[in-house]
Amino acid sequence: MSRLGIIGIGLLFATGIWLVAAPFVTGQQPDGTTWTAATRNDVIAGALLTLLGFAGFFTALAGHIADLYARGAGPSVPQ
Amino acid sequence: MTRYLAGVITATAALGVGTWLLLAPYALDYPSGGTASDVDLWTGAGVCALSLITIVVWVRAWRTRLRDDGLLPERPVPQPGVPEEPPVPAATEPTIEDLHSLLKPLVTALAADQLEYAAQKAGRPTEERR
Repeated sequence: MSRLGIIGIGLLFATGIWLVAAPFVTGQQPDGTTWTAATRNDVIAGALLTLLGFAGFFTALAGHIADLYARGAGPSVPQ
Repeated sequence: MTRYLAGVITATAALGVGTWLLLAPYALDYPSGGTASDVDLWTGAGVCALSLITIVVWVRAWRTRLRDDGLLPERPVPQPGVPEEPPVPAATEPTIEDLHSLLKPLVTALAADQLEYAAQKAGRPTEERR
């Protein structure tokens, strides 16, 4: 179940990256001109979403791995 | 517990960002019908939907974990093998036949007692007079 949650946070992270790139990919922000309000907003919101996704993804992943350790899975024997 | 909390907080904050993206074209007065407006509205809607799903997933996972740890009471699950109790029939109004069948043994017992008493009285008249 929490694996689905981690995937959801990963998708939020990807959406943040899309939002940062969107003004330039869709051509609404021409190169070499001052950023419009829409571009500024998209970049800031996208950066925020990316940061949230990044922090949330790795916090959740760290908790998942900590649970695996706490469950007492023994060290794997190298073959 | 940290990972569940992190998941819920991240998804809730993302829901806030998604809501802002839905409002931004109107709040910042984007040119109507432009690409920027479309991108923000569609992306905002997607972020809101994804955030809500993620919140539900994390909350359910957290509740499951709390149940497994015994911190939340178990939810009663109907078991398919066990037959359900038959429904209790609705109470019907008692009829006169029910009353007769209820009182008949009592009346019979009373009559028998009366006969026995009468027989005893007839057999020992002197004792009764004392």
